[in-house]
Amino acid sequence: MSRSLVTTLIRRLLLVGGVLTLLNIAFVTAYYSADPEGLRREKVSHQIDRLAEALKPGPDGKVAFSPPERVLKTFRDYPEAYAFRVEDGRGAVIGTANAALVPAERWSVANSPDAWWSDIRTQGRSVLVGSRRVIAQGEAFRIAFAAAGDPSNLLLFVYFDELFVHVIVSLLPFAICLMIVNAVTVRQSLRSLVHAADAARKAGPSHGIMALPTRGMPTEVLTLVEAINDALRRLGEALEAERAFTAEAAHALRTPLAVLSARIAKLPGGDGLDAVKTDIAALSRLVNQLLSAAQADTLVVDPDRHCDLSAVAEGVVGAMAPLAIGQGKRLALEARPGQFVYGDPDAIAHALRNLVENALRFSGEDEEVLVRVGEGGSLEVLDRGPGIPDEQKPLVTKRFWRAKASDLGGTGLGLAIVQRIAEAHGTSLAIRDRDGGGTVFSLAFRPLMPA
Amino acid sequence: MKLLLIEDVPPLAQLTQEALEAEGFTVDHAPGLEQAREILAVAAPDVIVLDLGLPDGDGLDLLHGLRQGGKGIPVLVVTARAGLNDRIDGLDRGADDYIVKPAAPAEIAARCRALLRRPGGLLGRRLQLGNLAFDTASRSVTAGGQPVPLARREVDVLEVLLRKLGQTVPRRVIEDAVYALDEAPGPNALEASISRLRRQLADAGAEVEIHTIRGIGYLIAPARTP
Repeated sequence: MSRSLVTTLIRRLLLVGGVLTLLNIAFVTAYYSADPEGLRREKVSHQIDRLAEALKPGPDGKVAFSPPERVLKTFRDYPEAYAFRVEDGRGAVIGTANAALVPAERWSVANSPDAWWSDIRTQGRSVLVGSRRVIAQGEAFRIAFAAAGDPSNLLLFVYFDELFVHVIVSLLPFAICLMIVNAVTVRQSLRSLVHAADAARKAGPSHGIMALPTRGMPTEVLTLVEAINDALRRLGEALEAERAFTAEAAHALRTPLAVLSARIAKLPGGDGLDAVKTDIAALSRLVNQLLSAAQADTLVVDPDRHCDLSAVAEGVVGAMAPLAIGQGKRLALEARPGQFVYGDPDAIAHALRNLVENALRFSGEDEEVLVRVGEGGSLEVLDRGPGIPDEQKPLVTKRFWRAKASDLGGTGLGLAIVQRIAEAHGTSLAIRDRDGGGTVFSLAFRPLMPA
Repeated sequence: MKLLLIEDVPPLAQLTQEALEAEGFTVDHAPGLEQAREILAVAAPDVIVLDLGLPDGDGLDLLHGLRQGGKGIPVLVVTARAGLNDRIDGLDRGADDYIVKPAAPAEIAARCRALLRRPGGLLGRRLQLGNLAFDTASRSVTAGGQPVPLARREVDVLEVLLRKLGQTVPRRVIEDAVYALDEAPGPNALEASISRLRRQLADAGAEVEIHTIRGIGYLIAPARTP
């Protein structure tokens, strides 16, 4: 099963993007885990930031400290672990919680600009105290925070906060943009390949080998396209050579046959001579059929070529009616006018002539061979001949195949030529028994306008 | 009947010329395009038999030049080049008929006569088939020398069929030729005419047969001898 290259590439690039994002998260985690002290300080800083958010102008226009309930809850729940103190610019405490955790004089230890934090031991416990000057609404405040241990896992908040800032905010939009750009780039880059494939599909040697377009091809694809063009060119030359040979062979064979026929026609009749005339006629027929078979082999039908199947059938039936009448047989046509199909009218006419000739050969005197053009592009030749046994049906389109008992002057090539012409039209010759005796040969062409 | 045979293979040219002369044609022979043009400059043949693959060029070029020059001389193309597309190519370029080598000289002669049977053609005045004769000027029909009394419509149908002797004539071609534009033939009018024509020809002992090609039209041929 073939898969879209575009889909595969995009899927892989997405996977790589995903893996890189995970790696980045792992790296950030490892980085912070390697520095627990730093992380603890981050925690203090983080809490100070949270408290600073609570400095808002009150209804009287003055800045007041009014922390939301969820902030205060942490301090209420863990009075032995967390504490804070907020001072205004004049050193007046405007907010505090669990201030007893830290001895009063120690709150200001970390007030110097150089060291904003300090580890103190009090009541046999290690407490980390940090304080920072913050500006809110143009006024200066000092917020201090202290922690003894971390029962509420505040560290985790710090970690997620870090992750959010350094991974989610910065990396994720970038990663998404990158993936979109990747997808678009892949699609764009492969567009030339799609164009080349379209051109290759249309390339038909019937009107000269069409080289695939090379303009705007990326170098890697260009190499492939040029290799294909080279192969197409050689194929075209081989086909052309075969066509030329067939045409020359036709001329070379037919001319001496024509001379021979004319010479014999001049001679006075006689039993022996009549036999020779019959032989010459058979030989001429064989030569014609061989050349037709060779031409059919190199036949490539232009995919845009189309014709009126009814008109083709009318032409063939009209032209072959004298032959049928000469044999005391009848030829008839059933066709609604204007049945348009994709196909080469000359090649289809050639196939139909062979089918009619074959049907006439196996028809008895006064029997009718019917050519029927159906709706939807079907072309059928129906006879009332002896019929073809099922086991022989697949064999009759083989070259030089003849039913043993029916050696009636056929070359054994007619139906093989029909089959080859059918293949060049993307179809094949179907053979079935006819109700009431005889055989139906049918070809299904692609209708120009599907019913 | 003057015929110009353009054929480059000497024995074939000679044998064809002899056979056509035996069929009553006066034959000029040109082995190439140049000689053919010389002959055409001084003489006006009634029909041309043209081989396509000539040593000094393509016969289709001569044909093209002839038609460009407004010359309506009927041309029968004979060729060994029977490609699946050559037929259309030749007919598009103004060939009146087409025959693939090896063709018996009798067949070539028959095709030439068919071309000359067209209106204005050399054989277009008096159409003959078996013992049936049709004088297009007096519009009289005789079978074995005895006049066959036919209505105007039947005479018109017979003329169309005789001019296309040996060919299937589609119904609409006969209808177009026989009925005036303002006449609307009924669906069975032509069948009725053909049926009367058959009966009258049979009564007069004409050795011809009008065959129905179901789904296309009609074809006149010599009666088959049992």
